[in-house]
Amino acid sequence: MQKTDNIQAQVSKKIQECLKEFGFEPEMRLSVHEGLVAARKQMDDKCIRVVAHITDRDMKTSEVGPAPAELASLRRSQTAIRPSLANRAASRRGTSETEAQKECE
Amino acid sequence: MPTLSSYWFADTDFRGDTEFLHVGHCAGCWAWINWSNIGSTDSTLVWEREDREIIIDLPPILNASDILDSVDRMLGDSARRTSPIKAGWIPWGHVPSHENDPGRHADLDLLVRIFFDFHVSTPWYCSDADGNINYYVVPYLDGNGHLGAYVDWWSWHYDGGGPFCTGAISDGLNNSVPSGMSTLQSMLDTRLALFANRQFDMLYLLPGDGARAGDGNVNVDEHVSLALLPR
Repeated sequence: MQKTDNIQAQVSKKIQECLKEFGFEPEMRLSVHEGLVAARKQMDDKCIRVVAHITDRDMKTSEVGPAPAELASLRRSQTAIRPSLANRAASRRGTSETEAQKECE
Repeated sequence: MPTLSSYWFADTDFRGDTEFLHVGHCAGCWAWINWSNIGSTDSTLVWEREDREIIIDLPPILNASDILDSVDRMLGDSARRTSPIKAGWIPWGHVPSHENDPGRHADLDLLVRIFFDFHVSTPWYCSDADGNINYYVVPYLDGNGHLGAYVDWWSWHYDGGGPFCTGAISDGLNNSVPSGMSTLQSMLDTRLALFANRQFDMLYLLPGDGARAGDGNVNVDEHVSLALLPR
């Protein structure tokens, strides 16, 4: 299997060279996971656009993460009172009946 | 004179647009709520508030210039803040991806969601992106009644950036948002130091600015106050 190390950079540079041969002035952006080559040129009264995107990953548009585990654990151990609705939630219709039924079963 | 504060929420689990009514009443007297039209609501809370209650309205504190400057520095060139900093409550059961760490908090434990909107400008071959950055903070009293708070979770989300720029945008956010936890924690610690010599019996959150009279509406997802009962 071919290694992907720098494959984005290698492919991007080839495309850049190719575009230059056709008279484009391409811009290139490289990162660890991506290569991007983009160029625009006016030809025969038409705006020709070229974009090449080389990537080794799926894109995400949202992300989450926790505080470091040790820090969170330390803070939790210090916590005596914190805001919660857990003991004060307005009862929902049927909840207490359902719980009572479970106890019977 | 104690105050009975009532809140009616548009969404279940005490979220969303919130109608409120504060009724002062003498001890041993009824607090009347004679309000026939509160619209479409899915959950309700009532809290009896003592005279000794201290209120800390969070959004004005979080929008101090030094905090805004720090946030803007944190974003750097990767994004531009497009809203004030907002601070609402969110039950743990509604925090994004809470299911990945189910024992971290109870579902109805409240966290303060500190967040703001951002915009990312992109080159001609991509659409611009708009989204929000969120930090989830747990305020607490320790065993000696001292006030504390810690940043427990972060998230970001955006729309746009397609078809080629989402990777670069996400990389920028992943570089700046997690590291912003320590910046925010430092700013919280500085503010909380003002209360270091005080002890409290109770801590809770209230929707809105913590007023004790009148009625109105607020979005509890975006505006809460910290309430404390001094020892």
